[in-house]
Amino acid sequence: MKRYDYFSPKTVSEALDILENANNDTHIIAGGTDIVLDINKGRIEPDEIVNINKLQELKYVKCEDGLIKLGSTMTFSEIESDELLNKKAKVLVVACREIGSTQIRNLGTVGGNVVNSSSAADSVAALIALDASVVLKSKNEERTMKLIDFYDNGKSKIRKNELLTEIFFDEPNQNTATAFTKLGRRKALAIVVMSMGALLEKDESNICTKAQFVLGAVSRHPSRLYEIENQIIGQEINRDNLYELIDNMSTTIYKTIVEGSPGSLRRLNSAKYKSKSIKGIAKTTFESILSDLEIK
Amino acid sequence: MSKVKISFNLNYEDIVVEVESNKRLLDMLREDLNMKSVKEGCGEGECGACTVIVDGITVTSCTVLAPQVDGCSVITLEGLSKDGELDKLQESFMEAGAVQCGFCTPGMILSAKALFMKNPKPSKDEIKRAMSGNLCRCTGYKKIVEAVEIARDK
Ligand code: FES
Ligand code: FES
Repeated sequence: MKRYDYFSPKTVSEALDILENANNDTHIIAGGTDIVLDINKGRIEPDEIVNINKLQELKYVKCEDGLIKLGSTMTFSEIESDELLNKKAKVLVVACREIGSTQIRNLGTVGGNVVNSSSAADSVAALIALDASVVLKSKNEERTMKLIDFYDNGKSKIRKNELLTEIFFDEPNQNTATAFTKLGRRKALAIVVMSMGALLEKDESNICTKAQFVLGAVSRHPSRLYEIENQIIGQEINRDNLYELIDNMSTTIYKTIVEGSPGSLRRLNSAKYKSKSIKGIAKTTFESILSDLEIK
Repeated sequence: MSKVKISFNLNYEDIVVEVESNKRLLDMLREDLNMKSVKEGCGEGECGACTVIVDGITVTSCTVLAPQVDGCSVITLEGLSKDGELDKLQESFMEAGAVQCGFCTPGMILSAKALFMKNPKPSKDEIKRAMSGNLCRCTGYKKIVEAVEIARDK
């Protein structure tokens, strides 16, 4: 195992100074739940490790100018118990609560989950359901990007000299409800993992004014279901109308998985299984939203 | 620079150590500091055998780099007994017969300890949830949950 230089900056600006000279073998560590395994198993051989879990500056949740902003080193446990998020962003709180074990939730950070996104990264699916954006800082620049545009074929678009500092999304209003449902809890035991995040907003007469649906673990990255969202926007939010969307979801999943890799038997089986499972997952998600919107 | 000098509090004692930058917390505790209660099961953050308490919360020490605990306070099972007297959790685990091979026990007890530190009177469900990151191949969990309940009621 290679030894590397280890840095543990105390401030963001110190971290950005270090990252300015970063190369391909510089790795950032926050919770460490992915990277320590990679190092230990020899899957990566870093020259430099930059530990950012001492950056107190990046531990916050706040509501400002109609936006909810969270610092990137917030752990899943911290998110789970945050009062503001519990009130405003149930989809994210539930997603974080379902991740791994208590120990992993105590370590893992939302920023780490976003940057390393596997297709099953639950907090990412939840954040995309909230239509979140990310703030990427380097020494001389700051970029903001929609989270949905942050991924490109298995890779995130963060540059070597950048630090993901913040994630933000529009503060959901009184008439908005969000929900998250996951199938397959423990990594070691779950044969299939799949999740759905959703946000629905209504007006005074229960007409849908905003819909954001996301599936986790169906394609390479959590994906939005734009076509299905458009089907409900402008319609009344009620059980019948929501349930009507489910068949389309099921077909979309089947197509996405099979077309992702034509001719693969494993894919075909996964497509069959997941297109069926979505029915239960979507029902649970919609029921939670109906009850939070107080629609009978 | 392949070694890092760190200072932290281990089982209520301030210490300063030089540790290889690529060492896991698990290995530093076992190899350099002789805390043999910390066990390596899966080495992948899945089984909880390597659980320790860092700044009041449980973490899997196989997924933490040793230098990351600089400035923190770390508790292992060795820190639970004082002057030869066992913690009430250690006693209740014996009482309930919650220990068979014992490999999962240190992690189990520390998960329960961290729960008590936050919530001295947890419900059965809260106990189960707090312990759900600790796997046991022997006991079937029932007695482990019972043991934590006994300690809670003591
Ligand atoms: S050895 Fe660390 S979780 Fe299994
Ligand atoms: S007592 Fe053997 S693993 Fe739990």
